[in-house]
Amino acid sequence: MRLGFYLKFAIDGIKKNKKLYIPYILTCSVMFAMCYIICFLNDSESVSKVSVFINTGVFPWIFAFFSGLVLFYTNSFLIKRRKKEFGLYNVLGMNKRNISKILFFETVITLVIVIILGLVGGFLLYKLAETLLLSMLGGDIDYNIVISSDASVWTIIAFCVVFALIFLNSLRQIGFSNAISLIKSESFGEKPPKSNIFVGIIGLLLLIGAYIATLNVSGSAATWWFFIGVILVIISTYIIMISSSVFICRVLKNNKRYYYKSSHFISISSMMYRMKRNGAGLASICVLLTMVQFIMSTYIYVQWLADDMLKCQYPQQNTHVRVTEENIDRLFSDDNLKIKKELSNFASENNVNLKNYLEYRDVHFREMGIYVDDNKVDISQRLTSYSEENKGKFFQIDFIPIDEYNKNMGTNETLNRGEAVVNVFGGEYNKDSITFTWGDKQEKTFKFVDKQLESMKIDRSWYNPKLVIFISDINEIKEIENIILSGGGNSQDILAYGIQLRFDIDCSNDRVKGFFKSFREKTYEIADSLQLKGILSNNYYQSRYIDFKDLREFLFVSIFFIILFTIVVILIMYYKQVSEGYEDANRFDIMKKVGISKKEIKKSVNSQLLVTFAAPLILTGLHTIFSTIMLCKMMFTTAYHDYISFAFMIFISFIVLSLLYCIMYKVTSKVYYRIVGGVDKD
Amino acid sequence: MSILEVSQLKKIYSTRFGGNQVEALTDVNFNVEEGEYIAIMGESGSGKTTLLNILAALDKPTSGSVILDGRNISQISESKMANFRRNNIGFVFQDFNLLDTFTLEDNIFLPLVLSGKKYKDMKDKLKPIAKELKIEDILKKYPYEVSGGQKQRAAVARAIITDPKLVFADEPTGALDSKSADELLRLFAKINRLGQTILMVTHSVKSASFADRVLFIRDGKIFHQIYKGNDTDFKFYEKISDTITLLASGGES
Repeated sequence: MRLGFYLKFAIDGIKKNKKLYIPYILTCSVMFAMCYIICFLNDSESVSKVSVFINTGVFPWIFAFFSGLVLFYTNSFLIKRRKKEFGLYNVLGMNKRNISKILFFETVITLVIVIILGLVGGFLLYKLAETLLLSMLGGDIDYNIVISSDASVWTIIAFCVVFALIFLNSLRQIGFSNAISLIKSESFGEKPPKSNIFVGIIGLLLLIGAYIATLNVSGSAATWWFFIGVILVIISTYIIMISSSVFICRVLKNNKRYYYKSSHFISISSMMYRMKRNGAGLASICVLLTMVQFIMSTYIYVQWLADDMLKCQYPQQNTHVRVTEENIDRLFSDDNLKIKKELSNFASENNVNLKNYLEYRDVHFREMGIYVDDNKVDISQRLTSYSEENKGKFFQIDFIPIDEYNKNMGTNETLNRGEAVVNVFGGEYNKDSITFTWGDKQEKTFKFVDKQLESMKIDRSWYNPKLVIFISDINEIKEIENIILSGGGNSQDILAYGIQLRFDIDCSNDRVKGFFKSFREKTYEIADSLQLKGILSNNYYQSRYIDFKDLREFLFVSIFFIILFTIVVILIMYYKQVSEGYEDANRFDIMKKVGISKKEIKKSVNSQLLVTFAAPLILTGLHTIFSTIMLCKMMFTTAYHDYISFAFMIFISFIVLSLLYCIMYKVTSKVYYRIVGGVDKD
Repeated sequence: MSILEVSQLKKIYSTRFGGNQVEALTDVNFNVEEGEYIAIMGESGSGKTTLLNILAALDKPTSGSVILDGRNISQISESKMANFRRNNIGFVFQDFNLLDTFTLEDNIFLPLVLSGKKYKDMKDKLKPIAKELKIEDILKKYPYEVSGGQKQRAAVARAIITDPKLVFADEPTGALDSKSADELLRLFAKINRLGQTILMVTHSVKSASFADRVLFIRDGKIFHQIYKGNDTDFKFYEKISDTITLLASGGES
């Protein structure tokens, strides 16, 4: 037989099954386009200039792998629905080889369409993705349309491999069955579902176990618990959807008074079948929705984290310059005055105004958190490692002379020697003094006087609470230096002496980024010329767009996975509706003859569809509650946790997800009604 | 008193684009008396099934009227139709049309549940019927677990449990082996003797010979009818057979 013959059969086959093929081809094309985009971003020069890990070459592989899995699933569904057709060909005298030729042509045609659509989509959407990524990472955006032949070739090869595997899989499915079983494959008499109470209960217990595990996680074991929890949740989701739901239906069915009601009768009995057949599909929907939700939660968390870090770093002014000196005496040298002057000169040369100055000298322990036992700091033991028992005993400690406070706040506060006032940020310290020692040797105690000082808006550590101790005079620090010296330590390694300058660079957001670059260079220049020990200059916009680059890249990649998982959910729903539609069309025909009005059928259909589609969403909601708790426990090791607003944001994101899901449900159920025919009319 | 009056029934199908018109029923007139057992015979394509669908209000006639128990069924609104059908008509199909998601018992209860009957009442109602139809032992089974004859008996139970005015049977023995078919026909006769009006469509002479009266339909018209009167089943069988031979040999009168 000529090839044209098979080609015609293949084209016909696709046309006749367009209800199944169009979504399949669209999915393939979207996957192709996304794969191309990821692949191209991997090679892109403008991206590699700013990217941290997107161009490491891993993502195209990961994404191609996931696409392959999805397409594999989709295709096996397609083949299942088409077995009858192939069986008929077989009965009519085509052998398996002929059928494989048809299948081969179908695969090739699909592949060609997918490559064309995918490439066009990829070319068009690439710029969008690149612009989004670059704007997230603060790279330079250009608007030239570009096409990558490397990425195209790579993606085409990857998809050829995937399609080849899919083709082999279809052959396997068709090859092992004979003509009659192919023809009958759809209408196989189905046993009533048996519910196994035991398995059902195990499913529920596993889920409860997983949830309890999430509630008890803490510390370093959290990551392990997290993975165990995830696996338990996935397994139990499948068991619950498949087995427990049938069990619940059965219990309802045994309640005669409930069951023999016109509103429950049809729904419950067909639900048992539906759940048995579709339990796995519903469980997959649930797992995928949970993943999407989890990615979104993490997304929110990361976003929130970045904002929170920035808020800690820049409580008021948008720029922070810190000069580090060698010792106390240097803090008050004339050189330091020059810095401020030169910087403001530089700014005004560039027509930029620096304002809202906050300028003070401080001495602080270099470590972000030192161990404060009760009210004692043993400097030799300050790096005690963190554990569950000493939780909450780590503080960042900063000394500021009261004069410096007065200068900035326009006050006239005084303190006597040995007295101090403490401001606590992000934690609690209820003692009335603090004592510094080195082992048992020597002591220096600051007694806190009962005085309220309005806090200076200075940065705070993000991990640990901060104690800002206002002392009477900078020379009291020398006593602490002596303690360190007598213990054999080097005060320069332990204490940092700094001049802190905080001010706003007063210009538009667009300009501030460019200006700050040269401003920072200027600070380094000044530091060099004055031979300062160290200088640091940071700006809010700089931090926002440059410093959290890896987090932002993570966000960007997560968008792709959200799209991928969402597509899979839509696909599963769509194909579920299609297959159920075909099954139910026949059943409704019988019901109509027995004397059920379309209205009653529609009511029953609605309630069934609703329950089967609400189930995964409800379970996802439960999973989300517990995954949120877990996220809080795993990640909120910081001092400034605001669970409520975090949970609220996750709640909002869940509402958005639910709405999306409802829309998907509405759209896909249209297909169902169309197949069932006429039920949605009247 | 006539329970069913069919007059000047006409049904024209047109192909999708309105090109060809096919006249399935030309002019059908007949009455069914209460308690009667009527068989309608005809070859494939003679319009039997179309007629039955119209009588059961599953399809609408192009013109003419069907009056069931004094009500013109084409005037019943779509929304009340299902209810009307459920309460007045029982249906037995060639391919049983049992729902595979229900046990036989639940299949039988289906119309009653829809009418909002209580479980106890339904159970009481089913008891004598199940005994009569010999399906007491298999009520809890699913359709796929029982034989064709048993399925059809369950379908009969479903058809008569609502005490319908009329039971329509569409080729009820078509999917059964001869033994089950005989059994079913005897069952129909028995039900009929208990007062149930039955209208059966068939092309099996054997099936028709159990009826009181046989209508022959050809080319969309009632062509001929014969009464059983006091004939035995066998005698009536021969009569029907002769009529068919006569019709087939082209006797136009």
